[in-house]
Amino acid sequence: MLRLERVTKRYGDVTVLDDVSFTLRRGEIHGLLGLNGAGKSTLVKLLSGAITPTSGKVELDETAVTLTPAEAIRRGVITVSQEVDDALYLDLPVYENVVPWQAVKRIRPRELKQRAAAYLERVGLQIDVTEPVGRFPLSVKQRVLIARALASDAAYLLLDEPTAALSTDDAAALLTLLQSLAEEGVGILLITHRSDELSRVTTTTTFLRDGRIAYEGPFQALSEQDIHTYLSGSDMAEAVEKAVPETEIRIQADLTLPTFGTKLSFTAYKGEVVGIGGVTGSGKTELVEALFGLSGVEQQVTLDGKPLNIREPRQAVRSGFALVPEERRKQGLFLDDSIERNVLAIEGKANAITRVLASLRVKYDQVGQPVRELSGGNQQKVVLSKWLLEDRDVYLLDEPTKGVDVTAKRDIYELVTRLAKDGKTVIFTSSEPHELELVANRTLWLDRGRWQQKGGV
Amino acid sequence: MAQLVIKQRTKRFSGIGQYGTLFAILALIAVFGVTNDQFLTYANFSDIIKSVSIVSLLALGVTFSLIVGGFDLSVGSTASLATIGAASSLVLHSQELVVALLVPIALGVLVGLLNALVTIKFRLPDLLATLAIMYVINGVQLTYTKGFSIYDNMPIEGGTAPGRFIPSFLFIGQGSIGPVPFVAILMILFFAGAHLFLTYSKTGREFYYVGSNVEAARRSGIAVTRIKLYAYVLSGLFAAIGGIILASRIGTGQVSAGAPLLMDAVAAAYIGYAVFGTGRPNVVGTLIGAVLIGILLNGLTMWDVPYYAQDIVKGAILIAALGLSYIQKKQLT
Repeated sequence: MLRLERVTKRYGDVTVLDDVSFTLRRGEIHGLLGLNGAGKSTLVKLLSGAITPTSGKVELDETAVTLTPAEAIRRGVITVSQEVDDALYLDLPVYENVVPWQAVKRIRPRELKQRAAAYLERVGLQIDVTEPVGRFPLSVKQRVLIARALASDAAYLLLDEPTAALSTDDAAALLTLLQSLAEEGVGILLITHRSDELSRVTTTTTFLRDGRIAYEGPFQALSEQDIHTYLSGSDMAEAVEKAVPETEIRIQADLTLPTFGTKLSFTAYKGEVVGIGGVTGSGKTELVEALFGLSGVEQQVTLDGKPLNIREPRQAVRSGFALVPEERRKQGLFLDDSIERNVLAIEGKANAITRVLASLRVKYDQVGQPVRELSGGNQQKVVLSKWLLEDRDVYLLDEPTKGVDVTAKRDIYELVTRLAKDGKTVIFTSSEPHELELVANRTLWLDRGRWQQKGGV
Repeated sequence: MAQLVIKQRTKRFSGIGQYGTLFAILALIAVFGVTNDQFLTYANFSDIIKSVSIVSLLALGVTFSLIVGGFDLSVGSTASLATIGAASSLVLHSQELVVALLVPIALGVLVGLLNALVTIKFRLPDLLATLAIMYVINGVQLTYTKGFSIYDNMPIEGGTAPGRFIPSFLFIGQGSIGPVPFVAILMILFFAGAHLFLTYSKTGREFYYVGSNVEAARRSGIAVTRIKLYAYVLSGLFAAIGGIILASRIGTGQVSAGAPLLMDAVAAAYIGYAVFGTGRPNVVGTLIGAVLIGILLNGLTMWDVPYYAQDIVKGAILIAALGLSYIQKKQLT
């Protein structure tokens, strides 16, 4: 039994998990559900020893433990993160990625290969074990990690959105594999947004909301309405009062997505919040980047009846677009520069800064402070502020609530509706159906660069 | 129905990658052999092996640093320092063989520790930090010698130097056992040892894990800093051994003698990436790379290509080797 006993985790004055008790038993598949910032990844990090609780205990088989990542692995608590590449030795052969280096006394390549092949067989992989693992697709890499977990005698397997970037078939096959592992006695924690998956394989599901447990019990018993309440709560819905779109067309776009080799058309109205939904790798970022001139090819976009040729971000900015990129720290900020400099990266008036920052409720000491010192939520608000100094017609927000706390998220939702009420058009991408339902007037779903029918929670 | 078993095949890196280097060596031997009748002689091959042995040991040092994801640019100046250390022990201090070997080896290990200090402790980027150390080491040996070489019977204050390059020391670089140059045996021993260590020992595999994904290595409990430290110390050690052989071969302690070897060593290590199509630094590949460069430079010299023009060829080879390793890396991400 792997257990959190009344655990609280704080970063500065932000409480990410608040007095949470949680139990993962061997042989069960335990679903974990919650919006961005609800505390899911914090919970996983606590269980896997990546971080330690501010207060409360982590227990393994009835005894309190202080886990480090290496110690967790030694005790059979294995995490398969969403970023599988971070855990793999991409340029090393598959067999060296599977057989845990700790368990080996003497290195005999032939024997290692045989052992690796045996573990891979158990996860349904028949591949050449001498190939570098980096040459295989995601679905294979994931299974290689699960095979590695089996090789280190996994008692508990923590999977962070393992199906998010898989095709439907690959995802279904993975779940079948997880079920057979659970039957062998492995305790599996499964983070996913897809309700069909949760109802198919989980014995128990825990909902996290704002760092607290909102529900724990069988997922199958829940109605659509219950799920909605446990995820976002009623107060969140009140905070977001959607604007009514106008009838004038703002954007008419025929986009080319070179990454997928597909074409996408869509229309957005003045004062409308258009939700773009889809899993990681579905093309959300590519769509937004195409509109902003980052796709490398010229895009056909009509803005307020005027045809534009957008090939570069500079042209997009001049035409009235604003982009809040998905990778905030990498693409959105000058981390070591001050708040002031970050906001003024787009020409603007210095005296307006404090007003804009205040309107977004940014918490900071002084505008000369480096952005690096701010929390994730406040950093995101700085990125947004830079586009609020002067009027933009179209706001492209790519996963704007990723990695921000609940309060900041509410502020961002509020800003989005305020912008829409001012007649701006907002393109809002997210992998969370509930979030899109909350903020968007209309949601379009993407799958590998094409529009699709809605599927998800 | 979901596909439960995944059978996946990937495209092997083919073409110039896998056996290209070996073909290139054979082609070079053929071309030089046909165009110059002195090329395919025992004397010349013995010459090639002697120069390859020095470069290859420096390259072995570079390879260790590359395997852990670092980069040691100081090997050339470390070799120079070792040369001076050995020459000074023999000529200025009349020491015996053991001292003449231990002094340069200790100096090499010291440089390795220094490199480890600046890259691991101070977290400076490996390339720039070891470049800085390269200049420091170069300055140290120039300061110590005041810019003069150390040789037998050299004039010093109040007469000539008391000691000399003793025969046992000169044997290392100049002697042979039967028809086989002694350096060839040394080189094979060191490379075989390094290869066995990296392939069959746990610590050896940890070098590769650290270089492949440092965070994953740390999270699986590998002592990442210690492994990096070992790599830089080994790099300094092998550079120093290269320096000893160099001193023994030329029989003097020439200042900055190792400097021109840096480029050859780096190129050899990068050619090594491509040899087996693995896209990873590996000692067998490095050895083959060093042989390729040795043959090429020897052949060019026989063609009367001046040494300064040979730098153009060396640079071009390094670019080609870097390009090849970049292509292979890209296939993995």
